[in-house]
Amino acid sequence: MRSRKGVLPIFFRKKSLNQRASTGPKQVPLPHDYKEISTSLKENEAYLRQEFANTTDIVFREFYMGETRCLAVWVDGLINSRVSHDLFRSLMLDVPPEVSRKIPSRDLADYLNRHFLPFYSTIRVEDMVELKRWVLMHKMILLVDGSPVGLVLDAETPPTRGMTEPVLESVVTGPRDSFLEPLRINTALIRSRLGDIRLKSENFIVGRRSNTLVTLMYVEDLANPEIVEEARQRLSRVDIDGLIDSSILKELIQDRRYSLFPLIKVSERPDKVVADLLEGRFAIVVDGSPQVLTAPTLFVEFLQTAEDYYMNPIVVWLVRLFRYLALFVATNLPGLYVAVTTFHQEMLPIPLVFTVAGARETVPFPAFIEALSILITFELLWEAGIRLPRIVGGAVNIVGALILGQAAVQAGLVSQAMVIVIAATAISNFALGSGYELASGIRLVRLINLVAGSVLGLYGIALGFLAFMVHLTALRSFGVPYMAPLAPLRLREMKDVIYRAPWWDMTRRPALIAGEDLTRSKTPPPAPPPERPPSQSRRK
Amino acid sequence: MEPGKISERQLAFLMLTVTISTVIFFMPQIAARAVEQDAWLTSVIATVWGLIVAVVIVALARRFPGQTFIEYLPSILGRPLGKLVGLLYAFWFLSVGAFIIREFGMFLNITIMPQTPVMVFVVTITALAFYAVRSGLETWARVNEILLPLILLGVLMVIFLPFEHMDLRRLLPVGVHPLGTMLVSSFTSASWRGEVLLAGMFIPALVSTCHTSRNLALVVIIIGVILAAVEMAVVAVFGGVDAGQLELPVFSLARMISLARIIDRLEAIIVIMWVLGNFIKVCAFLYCSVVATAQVLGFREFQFLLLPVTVLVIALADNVLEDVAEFTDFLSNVWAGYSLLSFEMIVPLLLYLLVLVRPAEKRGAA
Repeated sequence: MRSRKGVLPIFFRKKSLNQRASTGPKQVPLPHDYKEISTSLKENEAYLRQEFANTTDIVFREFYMGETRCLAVWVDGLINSRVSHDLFRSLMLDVPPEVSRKIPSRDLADYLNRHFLPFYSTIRVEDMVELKRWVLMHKMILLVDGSPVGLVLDAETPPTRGMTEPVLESVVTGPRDSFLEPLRINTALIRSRLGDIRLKSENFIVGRRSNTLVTLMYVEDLANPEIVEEARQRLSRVDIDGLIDSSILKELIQDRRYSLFPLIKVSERPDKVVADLLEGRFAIVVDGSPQVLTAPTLFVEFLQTAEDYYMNPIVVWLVRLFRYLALFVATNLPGLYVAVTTFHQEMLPIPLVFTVAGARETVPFPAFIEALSILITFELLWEAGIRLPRIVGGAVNIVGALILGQAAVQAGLVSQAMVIVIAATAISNFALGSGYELASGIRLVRLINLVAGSVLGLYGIALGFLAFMVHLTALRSFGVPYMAPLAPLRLREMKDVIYRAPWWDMTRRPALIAGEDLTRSKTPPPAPPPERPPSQSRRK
Repeated sequence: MEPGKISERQLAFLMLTVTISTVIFFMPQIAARAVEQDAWLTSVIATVWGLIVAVVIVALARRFPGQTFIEYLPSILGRPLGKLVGLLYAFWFLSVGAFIIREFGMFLNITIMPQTPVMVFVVTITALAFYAVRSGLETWARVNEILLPLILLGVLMVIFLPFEHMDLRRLLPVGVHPLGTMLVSSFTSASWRGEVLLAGMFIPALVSTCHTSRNLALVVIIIGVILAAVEMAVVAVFGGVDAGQLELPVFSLARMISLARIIDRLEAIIVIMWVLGNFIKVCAFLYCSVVATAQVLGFREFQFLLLPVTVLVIALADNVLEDVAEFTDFLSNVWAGYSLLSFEMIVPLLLYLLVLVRPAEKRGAA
């Protein structure tokens, strides 16, 4: 029972479920006590005022419709003022006075609901406690004296900012919209791109205190039903007081307690999420978070970008090779440099040995300390670059480039070769593709490899590589092996790993992730039209 | 007993890595010392012995589906004798594992890190193998799927890149050495090939077993081809006599590689190949000794035995084979008798004959 916390109570009360399905968004409040709405508005108002005591941002608006007293309650700032204005105009000015006389007061609320509420979505509620909760979930509620029914009016305009271009996943070609904080906007962005009736969305309310709306989206016949069920289970298992961002949810529902590598993908691009949905993954949209989660995730996806699918596939193949190179450099170069210069000088070509040795002549520290200090400096600069206000950002650049770089080399504290190595590492770190998380995660891999390389040389590097390989292959994302299709090896699905096949050749969805329907495309490959004789008109 | 499942391709890849990761480093020298330029012929003959082991082990597994090699020993030999032989096998896995770890450390010690004690390598690689085996058979079988292509790429580079130093006339005349010497040398060569015996421990974990015998036979043949190619390359570069004198001919081969002074000094590749391949090999033997021990003693779980067996392997590895000379001597004189001619080929063959002779009796008993 605990595990299905958010879902169960509505099954107990079939009636309210039906009505909800016909009118409004299917939203499920948390389980709670039940308190019937009284026919006396005074009583209801007293209850609400007591519950919302000491809350100045909750508006109680009392008004008369003809002779009947009504009460609207909402959270100030979350309701579209034009819509609420329309409501009051319609009820206070447009309702003919005989209505309240003709209609028995018990049915008045329902009558109003049918005839006088110009809202695109209303919900009829008979439970006071649930009604109270709707106020906190950004809805406006309306009570009419004499009717034991509360109306929930959807006039929500959550505070939001304008749409911007994606910050972390920018592209040259391709769509430029990105997710925003309000959930409705995000689901709309997804739905507007994927007009399939089989794109399903299920709502969950997560957060005992925050009552955050979370939507699970998937395409019914593309997603593997077992994986979707697993996602549902994990979502309903979450029991936390507040859910502030999707990244928190990610940590709560991933497969492992600790993992250096992201097991659930986070994206701010609607086109990417839609592409994931079409590959049979599911998406989780969290209200208040401009980043949408998608899973199951594979490691290789973090070396891909949205743009890979819009560019010439031949170029993409080259770019991806560079990304794999970047991954190697970003994780191994400092360690490899220290290992080779301290343990295996004989492996370097002789001219290079002289160059490196000459550069290191004045350096008073062992190569390991030298590498570590520049690496730490780089990490500090990175962190400072993110946190510093834009206005002072320039100062960091000057300090970093001039003082730490040039002055340290001129003073002979670090060698030029080492600065070049770390610079190459730093650049590679951000040339990995779309995974900022991967980029920040492999910092630790790099440090460990540096230590391993300085203690055990080339052997240490190989050990480090093996250890991370074991860690990576042991990982799973919602049951799907993380290193697929490399390990387990699936040659059929290698079309989107090291290279990207042209779209006419991407005929199948990934079988490890997707459910039944594996056919992605049946487009015949492009071919020139059959040769025609030169046209008549030309001859004339 | 094993909760994970692996595919037939993963098993074939495992067997390839397990065998290839050490045989190509030691066998060229042993073979060249015995039969000089005919070294590659011993690899061809050894393929026959390897095929026998592969076929027998699959045939036995067919008779006892869902059981590992250790589990069906008592059903063939009777309980007391079966358990005893099982115990011997458990010790064989353990001791061969210790030899491998020791030779792993010695190789690194003499090639790239002469000042680091062998024990450092022994402990680190065993600790890593411990971590991998604890993560499950599925995991390290998958790791191997990433490693094997890298290893094979390295092998191909070592075979083909020193082409400017090769003189194929050094391979002539072919087949001048007496058959007896070649046979003896082929036994040593086949002792590595016989490590497909380990498949007997993995077959119950397979998802399907339709192509197992074909796959294992292919594995044995592929290893034969690769080993023959390596031996030919070694002889073609150094000549039959000199190849027998070198301590590690393949390592010297990699040192010769120099292509337009761009691709130069590929010892690093050898070292990486050696570490990657041996990691899987250590995993395989560690896993087999743990599982065999658990099954002989009748436990249902084997995870809890992993730590003690790992410690035991390290302790054993510290005490076998003092130096390289002793090690080479062991490989050329003892190894064949300890593996192929007893545990790997003769015993399974006898077991299979017993099964063939006594089927009626067994059916009657059932």
